[in-house]
Amino acid sequence: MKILAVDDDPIILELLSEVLRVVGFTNLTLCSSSSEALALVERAEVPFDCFLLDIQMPDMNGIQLTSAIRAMPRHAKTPILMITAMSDRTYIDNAFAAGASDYITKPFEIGEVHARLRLINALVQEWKQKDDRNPVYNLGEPASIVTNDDLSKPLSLLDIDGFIEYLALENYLLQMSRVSLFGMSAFGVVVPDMERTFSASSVFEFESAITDIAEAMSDTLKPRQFLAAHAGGGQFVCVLSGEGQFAPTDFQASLRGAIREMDLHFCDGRPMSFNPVVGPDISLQLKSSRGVASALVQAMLDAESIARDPSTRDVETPSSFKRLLGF
Amino acid sequence: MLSESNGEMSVGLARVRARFVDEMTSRLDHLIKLRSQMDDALSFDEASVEIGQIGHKIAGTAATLGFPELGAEAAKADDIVMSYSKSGEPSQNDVRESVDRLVEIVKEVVHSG
Repeated sequence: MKILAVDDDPIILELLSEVLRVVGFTNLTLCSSSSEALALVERAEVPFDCFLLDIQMPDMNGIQLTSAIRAMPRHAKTPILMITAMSDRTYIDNAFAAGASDYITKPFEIGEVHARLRLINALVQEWKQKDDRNPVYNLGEPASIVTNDDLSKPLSLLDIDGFIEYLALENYLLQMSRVSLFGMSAFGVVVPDMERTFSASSVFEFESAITDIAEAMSDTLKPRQFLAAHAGGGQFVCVLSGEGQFAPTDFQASLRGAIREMDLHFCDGRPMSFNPVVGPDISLQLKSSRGVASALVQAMLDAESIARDPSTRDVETPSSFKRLLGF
Repeated sequence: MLSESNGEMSVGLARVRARFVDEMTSRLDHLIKLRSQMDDALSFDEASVEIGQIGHKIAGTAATLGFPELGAEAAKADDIVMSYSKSGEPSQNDVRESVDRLVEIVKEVVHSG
């Protein structure tokens, strides 16, 4: 795995070099400024597989560097791990919104860095194997007919405001659970019958539809502060932060209206019709780090359950039972 | 945090740790100079911002290299300076006291090697 580490503190660079070397990550390039890093990334013949970025650096900070790297098509999905002493909520929010995949606060535990990099390496190797098996994927040309694998894999959607990868959303919540989950909640959005609707369609049509639905979600949620992710098929999950009540039925009506206005069609001219179902919001406050990941799943299950039987939306879970469930 | 490492890593980390202590020696002189500038009200702000930046850097590595107390004191100094430059709180005296504690612990690290 070809790694680029950027930090203006030479001791950190030496430390990372040592920590990574011992677990076999020896293809490491060290860089002491964002501008130097950008130049290296741009002219690299073999692209980097992973970036380790500090946040507080002179001139261009690590969050701006993350945005600049993400703007390069070949690094739209490359894992970016922030390694920073900035533990404030604002920095975490901004880093993930800019496209960070994960976040470690300094001073770091060596074992934690090893664990995160092993996970990243496994992901990178998996992607590389996919590229080897499907050279068409390298050229950015989608296969003609959508497969079950295409339907179930989460899409990145990083060009859409507020959207990040599903794994990054989990990592974001894990990091926030160490700082404060105050005022944060999650809800799921399910588009029923996606698999049936797209069973004989192209990957391009499916991915375009998912992108359009995500754009409608993003536009409808603004100006609220949120991060959202596609979870595969017709499932989305969204994390809200900041003040203000969330009304799922109002949001659902606005979202359906926004999608209708988009007037979506298949390539052969047939109209597409989607009626997404929005689940209730689940408070993330007081959740443990394990609890936040399962809350994302629960948010989607709740939306699925309402999609199957709309009458369940009106069945309010007693507050005492909610407490027992940890919601 | 060093205890997690295996033997091979310990040798490498010991080298980085020695470099860190060397760097503390030159940082100590700089910190003492900046601390004396903080006695002058006109140069207080500029000196404290620079001390905050030094504290921030020390806090990022010290604990991983086996100096948890130094890391904690450096993080406190960074926080206090940041808070002072944002809101004027706490008082300049509190900022000076925090820097004094940081200088003392840097001295201990430098002398203990």
